[in-house]
Amino acid sequence: MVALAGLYLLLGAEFVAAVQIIVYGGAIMVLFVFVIMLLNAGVEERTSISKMAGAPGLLLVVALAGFVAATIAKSTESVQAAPQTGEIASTMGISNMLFKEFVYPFELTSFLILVAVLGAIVLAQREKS
Amino acid sequence: MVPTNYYLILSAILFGLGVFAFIFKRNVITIFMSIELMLNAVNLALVTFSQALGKLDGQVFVLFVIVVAAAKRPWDWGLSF
Repeated sequence: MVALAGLYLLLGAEFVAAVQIIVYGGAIMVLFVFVIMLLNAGVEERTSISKMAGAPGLLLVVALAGFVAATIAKSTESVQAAPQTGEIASTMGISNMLFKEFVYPFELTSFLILVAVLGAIVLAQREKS
Repeated sequence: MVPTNYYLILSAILFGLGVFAFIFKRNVITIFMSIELMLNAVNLALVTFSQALGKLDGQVFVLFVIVVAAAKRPWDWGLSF
């Protein structure tokens, strides 16, 4: 995940890289470690894969891989990097778009976070009783 | 300057690993981690296209993806307990 933040920096997306490090390096990994610690994750049980489901599954995998390979082989033109638009700094441009064009989805995400917090509280209370 | 194709190939590989782990693992925590992996692969593709096309829409979408994933997370862990 931190390597992905490095790739974002390489692509010139500084703000996304910072968010990636803060969210994933700071919050998500620590929370995963806590959940694993609380749940005592054991050895996962193996199930016998049924032979009947295996044959069409293998066929589908081969078909999908062939389709993807054919599509890649057919696409001769490669995506060219656009000339860097130097008039807007990346972070400033993002905040401009976020608060002008995307202001309605932005407010909607804040409402979504509020609902998530309420749902977490309800789940925690149901655990207790 | 790294070519754009390499980023897209890396993104596809990450997404494929996520799908593989999502299907074949039977542990709930591992499945949630594979979902995170798939989300990160999509984010990488979005940022790559945003840079390749010279527009910032992709990075704004990445921010929305991160926020929605964060809102989904307590629900996941409430289920996993």
